[in-house]
Amino acid sequence: MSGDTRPRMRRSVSGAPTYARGAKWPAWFLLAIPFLLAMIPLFKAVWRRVDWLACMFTVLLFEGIMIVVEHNSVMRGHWVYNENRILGPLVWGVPIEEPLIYYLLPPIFVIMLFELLKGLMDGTIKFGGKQPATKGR
Amino acid sequence: MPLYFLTVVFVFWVPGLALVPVYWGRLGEGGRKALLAAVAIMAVVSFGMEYVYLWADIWSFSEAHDPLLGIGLWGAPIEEFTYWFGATPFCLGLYLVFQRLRGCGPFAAVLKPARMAPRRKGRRRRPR
Repeated sequence: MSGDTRPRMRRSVSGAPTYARGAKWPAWFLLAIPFLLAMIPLFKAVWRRVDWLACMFTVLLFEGIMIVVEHNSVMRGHWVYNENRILGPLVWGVPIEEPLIYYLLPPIFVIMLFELLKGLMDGTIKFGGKQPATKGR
Repeated sequence: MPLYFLTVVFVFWVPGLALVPVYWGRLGEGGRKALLAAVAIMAVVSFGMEYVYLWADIWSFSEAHDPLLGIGLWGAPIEEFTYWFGATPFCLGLYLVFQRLRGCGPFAAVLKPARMAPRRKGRRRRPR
């Protein structure tokens, strides 16, 4: 199981290159779980600080851009998914994990991380300390 | 033509860098340091995750349509890292610009200010 050895590829119904190798387990979905777990304490630490409307617009724009980019990338073989490592359903040729998990969580994670670091740097968040009830008051 | 590389450059790096002048001046020193630290942390995390995903054999790369640049780091094409390292500043740039857009221009109706300044309770000036 290494990226060094290129698998033997074939064309899917949509014309995109694809391959199926190894035992079937939804690794792409399962590997998102550590991210999700890391997001829980991060969310607790910064949920009052994050500008959720700006965050929502960021995620929506990112989702919109990425679904187009990824559709093109999948069709041209920039990314070729292993059919045995994804859940199976596709959205416009893209594995469903992408729009449901990987376009959604990483932008939120990055924004929360930024807000945490900003809070730590300006002293409004302290390790083990309580978060102020309202930012800036 | 290395379309994968060019796609990442034009989707993440060009807009990501173009957004910097919009928010950088208003970030403050702490905000700038936080942004750079967040980008650095995500670069390290995503660098590691790339190899976890390759180890799990989730995806591979085909050069049937477009060639890769040919530079690889332990089995991962360099394009992967231009993708990972470009996505974080791009997302943070969007977030900071949307924050800045609150209450100005055509976005005012949609992106209302999160924290409006308190109204002054002083006496109103009478028009002369």
